[in-house]
Amino acid sequence: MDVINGIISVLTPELLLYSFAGCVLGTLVGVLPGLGPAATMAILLPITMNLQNPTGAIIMLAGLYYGAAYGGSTTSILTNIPGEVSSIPTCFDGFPMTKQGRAGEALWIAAVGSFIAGTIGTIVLSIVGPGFAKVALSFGPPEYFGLLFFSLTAIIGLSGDSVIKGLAVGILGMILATIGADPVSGTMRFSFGLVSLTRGLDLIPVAVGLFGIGEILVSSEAGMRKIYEGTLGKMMPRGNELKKGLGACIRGTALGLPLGMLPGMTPPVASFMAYDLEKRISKYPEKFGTGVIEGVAGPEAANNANAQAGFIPLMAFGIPTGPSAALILAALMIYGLQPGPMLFVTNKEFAWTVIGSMYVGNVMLLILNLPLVGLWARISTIPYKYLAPVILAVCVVAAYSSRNTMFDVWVAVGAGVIGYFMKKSQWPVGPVILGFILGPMIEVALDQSLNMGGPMILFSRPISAALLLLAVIVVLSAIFLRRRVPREVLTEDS
Amino acid sequence: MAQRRRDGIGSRGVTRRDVLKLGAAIGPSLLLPGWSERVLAQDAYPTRAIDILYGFGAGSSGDLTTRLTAAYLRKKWNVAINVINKPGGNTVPANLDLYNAKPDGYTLMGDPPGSSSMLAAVVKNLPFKVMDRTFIAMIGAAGMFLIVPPTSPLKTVKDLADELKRNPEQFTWTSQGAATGDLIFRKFAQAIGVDISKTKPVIVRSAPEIATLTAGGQVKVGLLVSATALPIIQGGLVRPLALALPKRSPSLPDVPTAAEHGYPTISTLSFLGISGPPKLPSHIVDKWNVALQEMLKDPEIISQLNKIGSIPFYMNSRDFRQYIMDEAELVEKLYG
Repeated sequence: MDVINGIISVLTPELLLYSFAGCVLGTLVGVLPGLGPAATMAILLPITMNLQNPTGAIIMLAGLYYGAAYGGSTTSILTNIPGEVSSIPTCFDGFPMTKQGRAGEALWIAAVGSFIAGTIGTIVLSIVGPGFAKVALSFGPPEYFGLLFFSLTAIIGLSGDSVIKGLAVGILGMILATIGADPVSGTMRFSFGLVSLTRGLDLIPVAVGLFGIGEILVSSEAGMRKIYEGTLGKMMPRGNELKKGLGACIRGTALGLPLGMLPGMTPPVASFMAYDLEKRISKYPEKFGTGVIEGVAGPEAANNANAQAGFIPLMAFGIPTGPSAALILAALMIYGLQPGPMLFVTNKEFAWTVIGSMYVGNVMLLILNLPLVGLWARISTIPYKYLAPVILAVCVVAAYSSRNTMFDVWVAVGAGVIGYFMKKSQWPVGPVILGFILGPMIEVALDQSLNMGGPMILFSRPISAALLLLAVIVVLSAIFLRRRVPREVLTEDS
Repeated sequence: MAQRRRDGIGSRGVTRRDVLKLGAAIGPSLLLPGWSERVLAQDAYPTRAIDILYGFGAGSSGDLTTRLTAAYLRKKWNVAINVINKPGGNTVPANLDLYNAKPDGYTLMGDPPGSSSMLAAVVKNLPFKVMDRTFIAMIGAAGMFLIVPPTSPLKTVKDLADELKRNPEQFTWTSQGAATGDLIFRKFAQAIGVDISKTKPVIVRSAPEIATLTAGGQVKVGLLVSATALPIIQGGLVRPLALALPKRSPSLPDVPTAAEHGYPTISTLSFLGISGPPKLPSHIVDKWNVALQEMLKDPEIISQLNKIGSIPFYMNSRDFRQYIMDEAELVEKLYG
């Protein structure tokens, strides 16, 4: 068996060390908001070129890539600041859990969910990889448009007591995303002649501001002494909680995997959709946002599955699904290891060793993360007057480092003030981010589709037509179901 | 304020340190005629970290070439060289950071077509003049492949030209906005007398997107930079028609050039150069040129550049400037 051989060949001290180094770096990058895997890999790339062991270098970069997906949830759960953009939905229920003293359980399920997703993702890569990925190529702009349009229905679930409010802020997010160079023609929009605005707004400062800084302002005003006062509960969820959490992990994985094989469908889209899925199928959707374990498990599994699945088109075709995967591709090429179907023939041992390292790496990450759960969870009991300035500083650094510009720091501060007022007046924040992420993607997919064959192409291609129909059904059923739910239940949500 | 006035020329007295400096400057020149301040200043560069800005995100051939250069010179000069990605705003913000920097050689920019020669095509009323910057040198270039889906009936560039002439309204091609691929296709349309505005460009935001769109048969032709094109061509996911470079690629020697197909005018370099702020002193430009020429002879660097789909392509400061000026003129004509 190639897979077994691959795992065995990783079990040398040298390769294990590379894998461990990648996983540790990845966890660190994931935990620190703003510092993403792509930026770190870009810095590491020239250094790895001097390594005499190409397999080791690739194993390390791969570990960094999927390790970052593990660590992203930590700050979301503990401080309401997403460590990676894909961990934004983890904030919705993760942070409320921390406020109830259940940070340990949230961190535990996030780590285990990531492990399950990462391992299943690797199994899929080893078994059906190349064949499965071919489907992704038949996914053209009209299909993307259908899928993205369908993703927009998640706004309903993120809306709280009023769908109208959710839609309004979702559109606000889309409008904010249009600032800067238009992705199609390059024409400037809403830049008001200011050079800073021509850059457009970046997702990280906006998210860090709305969630992190907004949260600090609200909590400080409320005079919060600690995020959680009292003794910390158990670290591992038990009984029914565990069962519910693990179920959500499996569903999140099932959702994240196929999305991860589509170039451009980045982890954040998968985690938002997983959150929406959990809420939609739940028997108590009104409880979401108050600390429901499925709301943490689903998105975390989804974004890890998504990251892991990115290796399928990368190794099978040499097509990267996002910026981090593009850097792994660059590293492979620098070592003269041409990815693609031939990789499994000409460099068979290498290919399977890298896949083997993913099994080992996911186990390492679990071993690395579980003992840390107790330590991290204690952060919630640090007096807020000490914690808040640190969080604020991290927010500012995160905002700056995404594009190396002060402008983004001001954006984060501005977004923080807006987030503060939105929280105070009970407007949902989630849809802003969803609109912000999906807006430009929808615009590009629509423009591409229109140039490919006019508006009718969206309805004449079966997958896109089916997705659009599904979106309509979801919206109609949501309106219908909402009418039957007593209003008091809906308002309880926020 | 008072500090500045005291230091100002004219009101400043001669200090002991000034005398020493004078001695240091004159001393060697007495020994060796021609060994003047210039050389001393030259020795003094670089003494601290150099920032190289890049107007796009990380991971493209241009970004990787910049990083390879930085890694090489870091060892040679023993100072930190940071590559700083400043994407967004059609590179205008990154350019402004360069133009507003002190011309001391500590703020430079990795300069591909998108931030220099092709800039005027997308940004009207630029807040600076492209030609005002200091062009230090061109380092490397990547080629663009014309690729078609594996099932495409188009076998040669001539087939492509015929199809484009026959049915421009239905002709879909991938465009990355103001980038080399787009320029190549416009040159091609002009060469065969087709009005580009009648065709259907499918705008993409990244090179991998061109790969999937073409491999999936969503467009008739894709224009893709070699780094991204090599794996999918070798994997049989797309079929290459030609390479738009004067010479065949060492990685894919079987793929003919556009010139061999009879379309020499569409050859275009997807280059990467290094530029500095306006009025960068010539000794810094020279120092870089000496180092870069040496770097491009290093077999290690050549093989690394080849592996990321680029070739070493050196042009000195003057030639690089002229190249940008010519290409910018052409761009203005084609994008009008």
